[in-house]
This record gives sequence, C-alpha cells and structure tokens, in this order.
Amino acid sequence: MNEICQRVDAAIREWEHGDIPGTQNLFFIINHSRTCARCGRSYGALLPLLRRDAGEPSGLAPADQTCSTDFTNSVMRRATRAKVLRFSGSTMQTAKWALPLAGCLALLLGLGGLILQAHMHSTAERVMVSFRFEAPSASQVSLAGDFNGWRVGELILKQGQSGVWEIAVPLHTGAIYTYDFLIDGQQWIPDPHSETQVDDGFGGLASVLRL
Amino acid sequence: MKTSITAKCRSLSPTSMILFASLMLMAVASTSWSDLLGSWYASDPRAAVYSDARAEFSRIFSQAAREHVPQQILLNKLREGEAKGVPANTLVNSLRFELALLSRAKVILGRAGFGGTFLSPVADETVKDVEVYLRSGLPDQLVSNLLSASAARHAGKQAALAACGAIMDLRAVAPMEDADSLQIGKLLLASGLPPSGYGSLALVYGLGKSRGLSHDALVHDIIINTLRSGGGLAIMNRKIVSTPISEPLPPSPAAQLVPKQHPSTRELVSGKKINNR
Repeated sequence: MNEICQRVDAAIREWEHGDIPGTQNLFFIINHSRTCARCGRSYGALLPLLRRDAGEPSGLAPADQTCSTDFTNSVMRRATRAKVLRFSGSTMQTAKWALPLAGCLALLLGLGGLILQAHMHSTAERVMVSFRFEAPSASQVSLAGDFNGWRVGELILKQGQSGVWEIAVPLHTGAIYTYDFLIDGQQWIPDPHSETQVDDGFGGLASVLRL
Repeated sequence: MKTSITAKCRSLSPTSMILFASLMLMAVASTSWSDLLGSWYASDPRAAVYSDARAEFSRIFSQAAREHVPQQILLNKLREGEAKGVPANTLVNSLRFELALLSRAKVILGRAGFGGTFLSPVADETVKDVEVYLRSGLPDQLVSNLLSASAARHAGKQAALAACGAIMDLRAVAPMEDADSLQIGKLLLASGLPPSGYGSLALVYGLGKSRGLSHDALVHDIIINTLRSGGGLAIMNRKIVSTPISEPLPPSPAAQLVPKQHPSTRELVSGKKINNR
C-alpha cells in the first residue's frame, strides 16, 4: 500500500464520518479507485456515492434532494396509521385485514386441495371386475385385497358350474391393486390368471391387477 | 354461565374468531390423518394380537409421516399381514421393507418430475403403483429412466406408469435385460399407442412363445422392430401368426411360478373387466 492509498483511506474514513472532502479530492479518490486494484476492490461500491457528492451525474440524486419534506411527512403520517402487532418480542407491521385474509386463503387452499383430490378419485372410471377361481373341492372361496382393506369374509365368491367360483367387484380404473384368494378360510392363494404376482413380504405371493 | 360465554364470544373480534376456527379445523384434520394406526387398533378386534408390536408399528408410522410417505398404504400392508395371520416380528420387518420401498418410490417420482414437492404432492395411488413395480423386481434405475423418458416426451404420468406396468408384466413371463426393457418402454411411449394397450405386450409375447418363437426373435424382431418402425400390436400379431409353427419351447422359469394346483382354461380369465358401470 503506497502513500496515495493511505491518503485515500484517510479521506474515505473522513467521508464516512460525514466530512465531505472537496470536489477536487473526491475526483482524486474516484480516479485513483478506478486505476488502483486495491482501492478499486475496497471502494468500488462507493463510487456512485462519491460521484454524487462530487456533483458528477451518476444516476443517484444528491442526498439532500431525495424527497421533499412534504412527501416525507405524508409517508410518516401513513406509517403511524398502520397497526403494529407484537409476536413474542418481534414487531411486525401489517394492515388489519392481512392476517385473517391469509388464514382464510390458506384454509380455502387446503379444503380446495382435499376436494380436488376426492373429485379426481371419484371421476376415475368405475368398472365391474370379475374374479374367477377354479376350486371344485373347496367349500368356501373368498377374495381380499387392498381394494377392501384386506377384510376377510367380506367378498365371498359364489360357486358356479364345474367348481368355478366367481364374484364381480366394482373398482376404479387407473390404479394397481394387490389381492389373493382365501380357500376355506385357511389357505391364501394368488390368482393363477393374474398377469403378475409379486412377493407379498410374508413369504407368499400377491396377485397384481392393473386397471 | 351461558351469559358469560356469550359475552366472551361477543368480545372476540371477527379476526380472532376466524383464526380460532382455522386453527381448530387444522388441528382436527391433522389428528384424523395422523392416527391411522390408533384407529386400526380401536376398530379391528384382531389387531389385539399385535399389541406387543404397537410401539414398533408407531415408530414406523411416525417415520412415514416424517418422510411424507402415504400411511394408508402402510396400513393396507398391516391389514394384509393381519389377514394372513403373519407373526408380529415378520409383520414389523415387512412394514419396514414397505416403508423403504415407498420412500424409494417417492424419490424416483420426485426425480422424474412427477410431484413430490410441497406445492404438488404426489398422489398416494401413484406412489403405490411405483412401489408395486419395485416390489416386482424392476430396478430403481429402470423405473426412474422410464418415468424420466415419459416426462421428457410430455407423455404424461398415466403413460409413464402404463409403460412401467407393461415392462413388469413382460418381465414376469420373459427374463429380459434392463437395456431391452428400457428400449421397449421408450418405444412404447413414442409409439402413439394408447397407454391402456401397453399391457398387451405380455400377451403378444405369450402368443409368440406358444407358436414356438424364440425369446430373441420375439423381443427384437417382433416387439422392438415393430415398435421402432411405427407399428403396433396388430402388426406384431400378424408377424407372429404368419410365422410357421415350430415345436413350442418349454415354459420360462417365471411362467412356472404360477401355481398348478388349480388348473384353468383361457376363458376363465380372472380380474377381467366385464362391463362399465
């Protein structure tokens, strides 16, 4: 750091404390900061303010001409009218209606989301799906899956000709279901006709139905 | 007493009343969503068998809530285990595995751009779909690539899931390389076929096998080449039917998984859509 940089440092310190150097000194600081890498890094951000104080057009209005007294007073009058709410020590300025409005909007959005979700599910096409299982020696065949919460005994198949058991269940399209047949209330068997069977995680298989 | 309550209510500003009502609604909603496990214990008498495992179940459900994994799917797995009379420790392990699968499914969906954010949460049904694909043995990377391919083509979530499903069904009857699976999935997405028709690929494969075509001929010559040239299922079918019947090959190991104790005919297709309601 040379002597010129030291002079610039001192002048900037004075300027920061409110002592505006003369125009000539300001231009000296500005020009030096443009050519000296060290001062440019340190004071580059201050250049527009320095140029303003030096009277050079820089896009920034002089400090004492930023706004008129009338305008300032008008703003302050409006500011004092705003209600101040206190939340555990912090202060938040807000209009009277903003908080309840935000609460209502959040509530409406939440309810809207729930209604939309229910609507999307209800608009999925509902089809009757026939489940058939051939077990001539069985005395009862029931069906359980995630479409009925795996409730046993709720969907009992009816025995038809040649030992074929059958039931039709209304299901929504656009979904994947896993299910199994329960033979005589004891033996779980995957559907031999299902396109895919997956490991049920309990050592058996679960049938997969994609609609 | 009544007068004092009324007086207090009158003293509340409309703002406070709206805020209070909102908070109450949110509290009620969050309670009803978070206590699925408690409802199951309360409503199902057979759940008492698993009273010793309740703490462990609660931990799993809490983790699911923290990871925003659909708890209803976990509850279904719990009910399935209960229905099948699974011992408590096996059920706990299965639920842990289910939770891991669901978490992976959510990550895959989020990475492919199918929701998973606060503003666009992914539907439970979609997570369930991907969970089944992973459970069937489809590798995470393959599912992720198929979903991403669909997103890149703006083919939509339904097409993406249908392509994954078609590959799952195909791999159930035909042992396939991941590269072939991905290629077929991408070709399906680009084919212009309706997603509901993707699932017929497994039937096409079965038809070809029944006419003695080799695995390579079916996968590469019939399926991949037809899809690549812009053809659909009808052309695949025509190619298979026009091929002279040779000696049928023995069934693949995957086909042997189907239990044989209940023989059936093709007319008895279970899980078949019979009419619209």
